[in-house]
Amino acid sequence: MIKRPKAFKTPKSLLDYAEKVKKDRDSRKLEVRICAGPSCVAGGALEFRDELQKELDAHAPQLKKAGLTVGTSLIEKCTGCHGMCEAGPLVILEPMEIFYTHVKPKHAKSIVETTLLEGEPVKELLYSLDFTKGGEKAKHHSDIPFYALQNRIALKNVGTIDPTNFEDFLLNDGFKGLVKALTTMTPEEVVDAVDESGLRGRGGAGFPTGRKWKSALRVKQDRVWLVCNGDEGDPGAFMDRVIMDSDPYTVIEGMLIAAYGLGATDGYIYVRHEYPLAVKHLTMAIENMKALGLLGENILGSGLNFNLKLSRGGGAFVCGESSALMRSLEGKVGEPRAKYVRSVEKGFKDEPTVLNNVETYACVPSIISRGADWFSSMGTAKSKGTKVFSLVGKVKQTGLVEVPMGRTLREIIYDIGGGIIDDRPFKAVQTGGPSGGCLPADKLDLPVDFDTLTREGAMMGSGGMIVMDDQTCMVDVAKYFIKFLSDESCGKCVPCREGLKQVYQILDRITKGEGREGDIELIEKLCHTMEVASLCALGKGAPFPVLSTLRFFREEYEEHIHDKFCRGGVCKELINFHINDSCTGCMVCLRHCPTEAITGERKKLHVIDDDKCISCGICRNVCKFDSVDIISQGKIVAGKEPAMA
Amino acid sequence: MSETKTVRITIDGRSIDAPVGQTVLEAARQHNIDIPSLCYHPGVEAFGACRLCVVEIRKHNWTPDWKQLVTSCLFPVEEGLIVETRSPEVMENRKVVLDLQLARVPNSDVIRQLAAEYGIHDTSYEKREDADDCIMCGLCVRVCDAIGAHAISTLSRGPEKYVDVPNKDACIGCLACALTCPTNAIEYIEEGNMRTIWDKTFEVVLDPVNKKPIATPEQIAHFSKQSGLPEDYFTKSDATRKKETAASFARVMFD
Amino acid sequence: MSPKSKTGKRRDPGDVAALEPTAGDTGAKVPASPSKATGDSCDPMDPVCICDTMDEIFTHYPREEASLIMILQELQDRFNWLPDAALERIAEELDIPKSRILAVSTFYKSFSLDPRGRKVIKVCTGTACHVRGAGMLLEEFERVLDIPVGEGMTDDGTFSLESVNCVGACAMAPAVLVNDRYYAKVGPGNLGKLLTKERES
Ligand SMILES: Cc1cc2nc3c(=O)[nH]c(=O)nc-3n(C[C@H](O)[C@H](O)[C@H](O)COP(=O)(O)O)c2cc1C
Ligand code: FES
Ligand code: FES
Repeated sequence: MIKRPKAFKTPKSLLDYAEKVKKDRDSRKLEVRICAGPSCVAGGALEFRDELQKELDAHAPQLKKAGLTVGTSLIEKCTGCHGMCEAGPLVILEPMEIFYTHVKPKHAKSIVETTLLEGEPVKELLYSLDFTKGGEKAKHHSDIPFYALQNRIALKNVGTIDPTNFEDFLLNDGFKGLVKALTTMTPEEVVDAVDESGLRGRGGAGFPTGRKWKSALRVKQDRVWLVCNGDEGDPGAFMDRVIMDSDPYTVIEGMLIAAYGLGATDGYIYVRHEYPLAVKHLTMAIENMKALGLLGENILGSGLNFNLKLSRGGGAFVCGESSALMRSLEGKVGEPRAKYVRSVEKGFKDEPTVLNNVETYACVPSIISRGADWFSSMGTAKSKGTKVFSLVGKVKQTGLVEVPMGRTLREIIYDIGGGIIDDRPFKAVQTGGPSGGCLPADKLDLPVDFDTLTREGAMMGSGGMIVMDDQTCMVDVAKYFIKFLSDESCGKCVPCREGLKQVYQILDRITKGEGREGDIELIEKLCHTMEVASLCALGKGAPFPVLSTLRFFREEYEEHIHDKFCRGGVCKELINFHINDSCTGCMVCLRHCPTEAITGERKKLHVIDDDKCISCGICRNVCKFDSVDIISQGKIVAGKEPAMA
Repeated sequence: MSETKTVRITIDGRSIDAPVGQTVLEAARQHNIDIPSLCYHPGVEAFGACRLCVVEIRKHNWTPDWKQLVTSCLFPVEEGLIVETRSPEVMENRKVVLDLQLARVPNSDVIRQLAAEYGIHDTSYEKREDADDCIMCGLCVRVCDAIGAHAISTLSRGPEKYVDVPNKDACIGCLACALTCPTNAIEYIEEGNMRTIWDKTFEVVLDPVNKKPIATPEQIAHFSKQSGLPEDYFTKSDATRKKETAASFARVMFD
Repeated sequence: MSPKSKTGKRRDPGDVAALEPTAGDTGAKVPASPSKATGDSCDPMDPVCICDTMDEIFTHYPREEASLIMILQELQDRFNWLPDAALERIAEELDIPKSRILAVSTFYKSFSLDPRGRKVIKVCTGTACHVRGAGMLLEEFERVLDIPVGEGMTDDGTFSLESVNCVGACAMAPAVLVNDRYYAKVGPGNLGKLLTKERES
């Protein structure tokens, strides 16, 4: 083990230390990387780690004989999210590139005995390329399309390093960008490089980062605040969380480079309150960097001063909006302001403020260390680089993926995500969060970049991609978003506060089969006013989930209003449940039914009493044989076979 | 002192010189051009909540069909700005906004009358149940804060947001909130020398001459503390105060 | 939640018999009305005095308005709710009107002005969870625990129920968070097991 200096006073001292650590680690033969992302932890990853440690201890003599000493040549560590959450808990063994899925504590023994001692993979844990149990297995993770088709920049360290280990970060080119900026570039050159890279903000609107930074430089200033937006309010998006959880140093390095470019001396990272691990790891990283002289006064002897604090949100989606976020940082109610004066002039505490998203900052170190040209060589004409998407919903391989801009929706959903669960028909993909929209099947071949999505009435947003199959009701989806926004509206301005309430009431009655002639037009009129006359972007963007579903799925609204028909089988008042002949009489649904609506005996077909049934859907959820159908207007809308497209 | 800089703007075809720093609404009002508003008050910071004051702007160097709706109570004047206060788009949105307000406060005479001026006699939307007359313009809270009492505030958020008095102890019974409320939604009772507001009853000091209420003792103590004037300055009858002020002016003049 | 027009009689599902409230569980850490949290007026013998906790919390933050939300967060973390006495103390220490503190604590969703259960069950109703049945799950939790979402706690003080918008485990939807523990792919079928486990730990 080599000793870490107390503090780094020059760039060289940092580089020298990194070199020493590298040499020391050359003795590492094998690394076991346990994914400790939220989904894998929920699946028992930490219990597996405990078991593995026991097994490693128990097998220490044999391992030693095989040349593996735990702690030096054999390292076992917890990393951030590996991305393929659906198949978790995940374990990766390097350098063999072995990728294990669905790992349980009981597998610890066979992993030690078979893989570590004999060098053979544990077959049952390997990834199945066709998602079936007996299917062909992937020997290496690079054989898996989910990984092979990705290009990781913002996620470069995510899943490979232990986020709490400074040396791990350093070894993966940590602070290379910062050192390059401080030693070889002027602040103006840093801002120019970010501008030339074509990087656009990853937090939602896609505003060119370089342009924002340049306009900040033009403002006469005594002090500039630098803020990192880690509020990530988009439900269904979790990339910022994973970056903060799994690679906190990269985010801070990005901020330091920005601070150098912009002459900012003070900054905040604003983290959403539901992300305790991000808070923990970022706090740890900040404290560590302060102690090492990488935050504070005269960083690496360069004259750069930057103080960074962390602040937690209080649970309000609107606080992801920049002006509301700044009010929240001030300890106030998060009400947005009209943006007639830009925050680069008057932001936090009415002082000049530059605010960027987590993923935006996470791209900056690589842009500086590898060059603007390298970054802008990826992507499309106006959307450069890569983007992280959270692929969730009714898709087989849910998780976090990073691909160059311009990949089509089909490539992301089908090639990377493996298609729709149970190979059901695709109905829509929702992008852009609550201000985004739903795109239908005939848009699957669109290249995904900022401008294309916006043109189609959807939005890039923060990169959430929620895939929906035929058993989704688009009116219900619109109602869901409007309810979400109405709960999250700050309540200040009339079109947003009252408009959302009224749109919700109209959608609610439509989904209950009480829709009226003229309701669609009423919604459209209201949406128009919300869009043009709301005070902030929450209200202005709120109509899009409704307008996009009206544009692409208008017939579903009409069916609800005129025929009282819900083709997705979702709207409770318009559906009934029915048990089909495939029922084996296992009594499970009967036991779970909260209203005793199901009667039947063991091994005999069960029957649902419509009068007692409250359409809660539990019977269908617990049935292992797909024996419960959903019926609307006499038609089976959700049954065993994929329903009508 | 240097002269205030002005810019030239056009509102509804009229050319106007407005001082830099003024908002479009202020400039319009100064020149007697009517822009409706509910949440604006010259005494407190503009808020931009009621959206009635929204107007359409163009700029002389923009392409001719480029226009935008902006909040006139917040939008600062700038050279060459062209403002339409009653364009079809503006009127359309004003109507929807009033329609929404009418659903919120169906019993408010003020809103009913205003909506009627725009041809809306009944709301297109579902009326709020058990509706009071509050339109959530936030004026009462801003006024209470400006006075320095900080007794009332908005609570909760979204459609559920409401105004209440979480700091009742701090209420000085000054009535500023009730008197600035555009829809008279804040109730108070004044009988003899008793005044009740926000469920809190105050004894009122009466004008020694005409027996009209002047202020509550709490209010007097508060203003006296804030202004540095003695408490009895606030309790004198109007006539006495005027006389004394004139006398002090006279003293200053002769010195 | 919108009122449902379809209603029906309910009974406790078989596998959740273990969920009957157990007597003797004392619930939240702070009783409903702790005494005033300012040093001078506090009775040192008062078993529910929160002065020490407050004193300690104030050592972590500069006394300025910008600290307000962080302080409220820490209070909420420790007590599971914001006792009024604590809010009075904050008003005094930070010199912020109490009305503003209440505006803030009712605006942000993570604060509660009423005592919460020992364990707060947060059912994610984010988009990814919604399309995988979170709505049904939430209703089932309401039914089984017999408390409405966002209000009160079970009679034994163990559980409160809340809905949250995305906890960042979208890939394993529907997700449920109990205090700091994540549960993935929760459905009516395994909800009973979750509650039993939480009740025992
Ligand atoms: C209602 C609303 C919510 C938002 N939520 C977020 C968020 O959670 N995270 C984020 O980075 N940006 C969010 N934004 C966008 C921010 O206002 C801002 O544009 C962005 O953080 C700027 O960073 P960027 O340029 O790096 O993208 C939100 C915007 C609105 C209107
Ligand atoms: S006066 Fe401008 S929004 Fe109300
Ligand atoms: S939507 Fe439920 S965890 Fe993200």
